[in-house]
Amino acid sequence: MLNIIAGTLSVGVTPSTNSYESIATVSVGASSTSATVTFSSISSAYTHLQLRVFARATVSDSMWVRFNNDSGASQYDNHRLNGNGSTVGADARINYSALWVSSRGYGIPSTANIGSGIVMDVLDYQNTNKYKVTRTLSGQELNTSNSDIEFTSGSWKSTSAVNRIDLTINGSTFAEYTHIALYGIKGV
Amino acid sequence: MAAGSTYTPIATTTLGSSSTDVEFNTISSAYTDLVLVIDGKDTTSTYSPYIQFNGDTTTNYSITNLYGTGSAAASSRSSSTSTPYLGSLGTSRGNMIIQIQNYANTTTYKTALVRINAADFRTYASVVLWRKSPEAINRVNIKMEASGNFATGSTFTLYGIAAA
Repeated sequence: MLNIIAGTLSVGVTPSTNSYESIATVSVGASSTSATVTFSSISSAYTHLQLRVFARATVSDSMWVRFNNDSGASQYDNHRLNGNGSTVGADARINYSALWVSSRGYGIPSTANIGSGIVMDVLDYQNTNKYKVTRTLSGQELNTSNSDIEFTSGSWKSTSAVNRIDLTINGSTFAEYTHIALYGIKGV
Repeated sequence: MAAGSTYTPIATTTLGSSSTDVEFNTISSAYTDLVLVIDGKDTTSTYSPYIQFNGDTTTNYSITNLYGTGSAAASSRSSSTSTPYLGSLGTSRGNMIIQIQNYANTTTYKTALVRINAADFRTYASVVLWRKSPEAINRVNIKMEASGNFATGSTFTLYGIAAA
């Protein structure tokens, strides 16, 4: 990805066309729901992973992300910074059972026609010498004061390579027209 | 799992003279998401660009943002506006990355995530909603607030990301 950007905007860098690859996609069809979206048997061919999400919920709440089906009670840390249009909030959820996304504000919306936009990077997901760190930008705009923009940093406290990602909505399900895509970014 | 190369440059504009409006039109629907990368500045002050889809000049837009000024953090929003101001690129030079999710679908309103890095002014994150009766986005305009201009040399590159 960075090679493409640098190649386009700068001089002397050859654009790469194969460093950012689509791995798999899950779409929730019209009038359907999905309790869990799972990406399994994730290839080790990449250096970083990126989740690109357009998410809707049957009941508005936070999205949870877990790696390798690990739901251990204290396996994940989260720090969050958000703005809801009038105030700024920040907090942490340390030693939790999942990474939390869109969790400071209204959550993944259930409002007709509207979804959250989420981009989560899972950096160095294969490295077996350290815990895994994520960064996320998420937002839901509803044309009301329930809107929210949020930064989240997360950590999965395991040295295992990530080979599976599960996404759920706390106490709810993904609603129709949810679209979740996993991409791999190669290093050199 | 299927895998395919993507993150494809669609078009690039480098301004040969200052401009108040940069347009990408006839955008293919072959992708899943669009990413617009802007590197530039305003010619005179910290005016703010806003985004417009498919030439819609009505009040179908809303925006919530979060920003840091260097001494404080703040959040603001606008509902039912025709000018969803994204934040300033600053006067020395800044960059802006706009992620337009699921832009070609005809079943939902469109949501975009925006990050601006204006090192001499502010840093911003924003979410924009476009509520026109669902239609695919085939045109994107980045317009500068009245009295502002994108400076000569500002670059605008549109990418398409296709899901498997």
